[in-house]
Amino acid sequence: MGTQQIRLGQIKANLEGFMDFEQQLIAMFGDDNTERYLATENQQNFTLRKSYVVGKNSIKVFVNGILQNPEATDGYRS
Amino acid sequence: MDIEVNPKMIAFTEPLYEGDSVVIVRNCTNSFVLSMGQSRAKAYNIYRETYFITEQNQYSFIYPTPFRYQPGLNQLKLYANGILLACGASFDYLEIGEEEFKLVHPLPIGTTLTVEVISGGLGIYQCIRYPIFIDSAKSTQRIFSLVDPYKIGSNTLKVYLDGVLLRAGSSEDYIESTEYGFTMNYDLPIGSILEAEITTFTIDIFNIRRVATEITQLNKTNMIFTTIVPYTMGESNLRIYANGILLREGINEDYIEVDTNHFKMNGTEIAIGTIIEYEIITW
Repeated sequence: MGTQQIRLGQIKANLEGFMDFEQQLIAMFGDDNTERYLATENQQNFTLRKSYVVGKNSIKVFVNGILQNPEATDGYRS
Repeated sequence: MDIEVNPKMIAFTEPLYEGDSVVIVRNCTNSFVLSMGQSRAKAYNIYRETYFITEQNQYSFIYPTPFRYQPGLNQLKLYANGILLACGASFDYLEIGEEEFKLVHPLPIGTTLTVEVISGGLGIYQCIRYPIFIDSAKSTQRIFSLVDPYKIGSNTLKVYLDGVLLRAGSSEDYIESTEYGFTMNYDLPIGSILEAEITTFTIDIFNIRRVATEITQLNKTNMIFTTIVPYTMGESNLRIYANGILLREGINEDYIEVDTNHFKMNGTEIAIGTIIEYEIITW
């Protein structure tokens, strides 16, 4: 998903909606299984507190409440 | 783009904006994400309700809030007697606002008007529609190009002729010839409307199942059909067409949802040669 699509998605998912959604995720999975970051301008890389298994679909990544696609040309790389 | 990959880093293919919220969740399944999204009516929901036209020259319609849609995103679909209407000033209706649409030409009294709203508040669902007016030049054109691609063989492309759902296949109505187009197997009537519709999801865990069955014998006792995958009852995620016309669900309508793997046609029998086609979106 490109940045423009992310922005469009952000507009479509209203602020209150995705915040609720994030809070639900964090509440359901707990601090051990969730990490939340606020991006700085143009940030692309995020260093995680805990490691994960690369390429095994072992994590889900949401930007502004939107699930991202873990493919090299679409969303993010893991 | 050269991005370092390691077990403690993720890298987005494009830069984010300041303040974008990034959440990483471990031990979270796709189905859980979707069920969670559905529970808050945000991930992907279908609302379908049928109304009867009871007034002459009724153009404008305002309907209850559960059917709110976002104009311009093809979340709203209208069917008159099961025939898909095309959106646009030179076609059948206009999207006025989140709860309102307007018909370009009024429908006769007694017509059923089915309103379908597909909402994807998380941006998961996307639909693109291409209504094409068939003039004399296009009537023999056969090959039609699309601006956006679709995945061949995935049921993400639907083609309608005058609102009737066509079927893909060399011995059917059209062929999915390229990811940017399709080829009709016959010439089209001048003055008809050909419409292509592409449905995509921004995450790749959805599958669109569409199965057609030709009725080859009259069978008054067995009108129950078994679906190849389960569907969720009462969520309008099962669509049934007879010869390309969308049917209505209900005891006094065309069919009922029996359980998660069956639907039952109402009435006494189905005519030989009828094509019963159903569609289910799974994840």
